[in-house]
Amino acid sequence: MSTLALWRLFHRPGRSSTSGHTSALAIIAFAAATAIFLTVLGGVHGFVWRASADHTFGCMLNETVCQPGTLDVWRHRVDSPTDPASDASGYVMLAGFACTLLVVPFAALAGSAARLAASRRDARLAALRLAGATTGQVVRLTALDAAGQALVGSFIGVLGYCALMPLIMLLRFQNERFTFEQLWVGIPVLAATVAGVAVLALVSSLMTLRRVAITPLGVTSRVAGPLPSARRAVMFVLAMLVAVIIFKNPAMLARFGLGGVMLYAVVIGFVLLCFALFNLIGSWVVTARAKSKVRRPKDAATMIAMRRILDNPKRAWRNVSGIALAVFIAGITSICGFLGSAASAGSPNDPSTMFLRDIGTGGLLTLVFAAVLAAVSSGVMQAGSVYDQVNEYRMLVLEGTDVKTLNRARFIEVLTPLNVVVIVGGGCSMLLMAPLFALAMAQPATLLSFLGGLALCYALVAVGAFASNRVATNLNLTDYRADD
Amino acid sequence: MTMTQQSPCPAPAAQSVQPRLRQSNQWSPILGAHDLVMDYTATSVPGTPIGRHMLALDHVDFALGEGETVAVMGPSGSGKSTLLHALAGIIRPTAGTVTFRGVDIGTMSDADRTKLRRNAFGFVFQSGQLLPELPAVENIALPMMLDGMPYRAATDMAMLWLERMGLKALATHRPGEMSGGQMQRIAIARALAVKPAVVFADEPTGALDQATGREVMGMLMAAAHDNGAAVVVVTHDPNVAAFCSRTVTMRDGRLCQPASRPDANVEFEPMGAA
Repeated sequence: MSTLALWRLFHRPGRSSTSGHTSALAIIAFAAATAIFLTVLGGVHGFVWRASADHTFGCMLNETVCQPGTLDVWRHRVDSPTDPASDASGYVMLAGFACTLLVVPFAALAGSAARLAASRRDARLAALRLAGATTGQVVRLTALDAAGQALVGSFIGVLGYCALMPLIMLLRFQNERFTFEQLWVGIPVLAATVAGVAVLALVSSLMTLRRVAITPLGVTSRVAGPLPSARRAVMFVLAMLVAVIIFKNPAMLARFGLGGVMLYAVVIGFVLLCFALFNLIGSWVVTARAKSKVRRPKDAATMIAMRRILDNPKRAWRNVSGIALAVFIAGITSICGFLGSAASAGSPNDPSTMFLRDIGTGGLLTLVFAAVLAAVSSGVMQAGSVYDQVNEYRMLVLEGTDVKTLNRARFIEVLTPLNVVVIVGGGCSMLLMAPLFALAMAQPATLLSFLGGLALCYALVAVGAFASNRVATNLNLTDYRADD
Repeated sequence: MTMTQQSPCPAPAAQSVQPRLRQSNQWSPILGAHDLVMDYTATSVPGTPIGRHMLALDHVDFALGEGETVAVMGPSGSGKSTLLHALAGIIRPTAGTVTFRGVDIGTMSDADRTKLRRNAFGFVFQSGQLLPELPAVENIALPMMLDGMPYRAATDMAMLWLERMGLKALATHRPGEMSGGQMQRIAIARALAVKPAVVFADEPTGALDQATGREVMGMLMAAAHDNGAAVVVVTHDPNVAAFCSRTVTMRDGRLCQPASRPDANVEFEPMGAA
């Protein structure tokens, strides 16, 4: 039997199962990731459109390739102090920085979607192996599943991008609204995005399968794995220390002969390094907190939640990693809130005032995108874990565990790591920004912006938890045919 | 060992004349079922008339005395586990009543039935009932904690049970690090730790070899006996049924052969004597 025939056998209409539900979750995640990616890309395209004489990326980088006649008009605009075009390249640079910050939450969501697409099929694949399917067939079947879901999800995401466009067109940057032409990334980019998401899903599913060897006897039983090492934390603390020292004494860099541009590059580089390292220490921080709480849990729900975290700290971290990174971004962009409020004092048409105000809007927008990416990621992971643990839930309910306790256990499983990483993530980003913007950091607008970001993250996680509780409510935990 | 009689069951119409179990003026059942019907088709498709097809429970009467041990035997698909689930208040039967200490559990809310299962019943299944993330001691402590006992007190009690089961050394081990027999002994300790009135065991030795199965059954019966708990065991295995004081047989959803087993091993060695 060919792999395609096997795939069709498992996807006959009218069959609803746990793997069907997780497929739907994976499709939602792929769709959200694609829609947000294209929307952000559309924004960057808009800024490039505005920063280029003939509205192309090539012309922005190299004036010799610009369309004839466009360059003179553009130069005239750039020379005019009242024209926002004078700051256009600054907008492109900041949009690029925002995109870089969004890469990690985006990768977290795409990764969780791909994992969902490839996982929870262990039993089915083991049964297939037992029935005589080759490893190659099983791998191809899983890859086909993941790629199929990615394709469906990314097509829905493209529709989502089109649906979001009118909302983005309401935003004002450089004192004008975006037009469809500015936000439209073009058919080739859309096709490349859809293909890219499918390839990402394929690669990720193959990597997941490599870790889970599907033998005819199924997967290995669950035993305690090694917990993350503290070396990661030491690396992170060292990087933070060096960054804070450098940010406090920028003159030090000047002594090394670094120019202004390099100075900015180093600062941005360190922010991104700490951001990346934060992703590395996440599971260690989560483990440390769960270990301290499991010594004397206050109730059964806490005990179950902490043990689940310690069972797989990486999974626990993945549930909240997007939010944690969004909080980190909230810390970085909180300064934008201050800049935005400072701009309100100046003339609304003055390009520098406009630039500051737009940084405020852009920072907020970056945070919203990061938070939405993170919330979808967290919600999808939580709902996925409900399906993952359906048999355990069933047993616990049979033995007299009330559903409220199970829901609470799942919520604590997300909330405990979230609280820890919010404190660590928020604290670290504020610590990094403090030497750079010492005065602004204590301003009410900055703190309000930061606290608003935190509130947004918690609210979105609560939405994810609510969604997973709805999923749990819809599970048939007791009313099913007994195995007589 | 004599097998339970395999005679055909009486027709449904004759169910009303099923022999009553150990009826006497003094004997009152702790758990009773009257005229139980379970029709999964009617449950999943409301409006479907009952009885046009095979019923999982077909007008079943059942009674269990305080501290009594009963084996429910029968071929696959005969309705044994459905009966156990109905008796334990896990599923609501399509018709009929289940009473525990005189209270109709069908009239209880879901929350009350959940509480009843937690406090008055214990469960031992074939496998997979222990939480894989929890070490043995916490798996046993869990039902006590669910009932509000503090962690320290619950784990102290769980340690006593582990000692009783001869598994103290495995206190911090997780189920994935234990053998099937060890896991079943932990499951028994967990079921009995809350001092239940009734223990429901569904194929408790189904995943074990015969020697380990006997050992596990011996422990289950001894621990239940020491706690004064009644036991309902669903099994295919006559060796397992031999541990019970009474065996009933199910076929096609009907309880057809109640039989007393005066020769059953109702006296047990004290725990830990082995």
